[in-house]
Amino acid sequence: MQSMSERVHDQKFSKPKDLLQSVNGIDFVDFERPDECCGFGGTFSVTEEAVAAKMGYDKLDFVRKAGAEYIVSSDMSCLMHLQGCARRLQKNVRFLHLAQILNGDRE
Amino acid sequence: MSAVDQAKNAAQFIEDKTHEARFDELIWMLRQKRDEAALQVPEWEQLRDLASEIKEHTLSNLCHYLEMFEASARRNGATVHWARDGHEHNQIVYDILKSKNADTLIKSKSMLTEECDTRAFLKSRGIKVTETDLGERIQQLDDEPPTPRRVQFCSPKTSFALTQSAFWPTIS
Repeated sequence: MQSMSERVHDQKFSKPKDLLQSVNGIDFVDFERPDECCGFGGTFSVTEEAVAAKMGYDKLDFVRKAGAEYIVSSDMSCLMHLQGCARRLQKNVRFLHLAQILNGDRE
Repeated sequence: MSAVDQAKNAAQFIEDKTHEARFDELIWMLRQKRDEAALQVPEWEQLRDLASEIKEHTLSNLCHYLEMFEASARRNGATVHWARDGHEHNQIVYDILKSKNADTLIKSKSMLTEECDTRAFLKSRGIKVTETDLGERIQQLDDEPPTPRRVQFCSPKTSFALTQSAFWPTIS
């Protein structure tokens, strides 16, 4: 699970997790460095392309290492960025928006 | 001090995969130690806010505090010089050395003099500058700036000195 905050005392709190926990059949995985950004950051990915890409690759590595099959987010930018990174690295991981799961979609 | 091309330097830094991975490991270890310590302090966030307010207050009232510092330093017998920029700072240092017929300067761990490019300024005027801090001495022999070129971020200390060096008094 991605942490919602970089603040050490707030890391247990996650609204998306609360929502997803009400859906049957989801196993959550914990990965390393849960409070690190995916690296997109709006125009950051344009002005700091190398850092943005590296952060995305790192995030993917941590998530994959933890054994996740799906990356689910409520943020379109994170999904787009990580999906782009996954495509470049030819990593086999699937992406869903939180709303797709809550609506009962699989893929 | 010349402008830094952050994005270009970052790309170069990332390109060197072995170095990047080691650096990442080191910084992550520091981060973990910081988190461990922060977790021991329930009022951590309030303390961060307080420190932030103190810093903002001090920077907003820097003229006042610098003059206060100057008065105290003078009372303690120090001579305080005011420099408008790096060049003026270097000139003051050089004039002091010249007035004492000094041709050698030993210095250690001074980021201010690095930001003012003091070493090059003095070298071109015949002063032999020697760094005594081992790490900086190695970098001096290697003709490399003290903050490794491949490290991308400025420490708060460095950026503070950089922003304020125009008004920073030189003590002799």
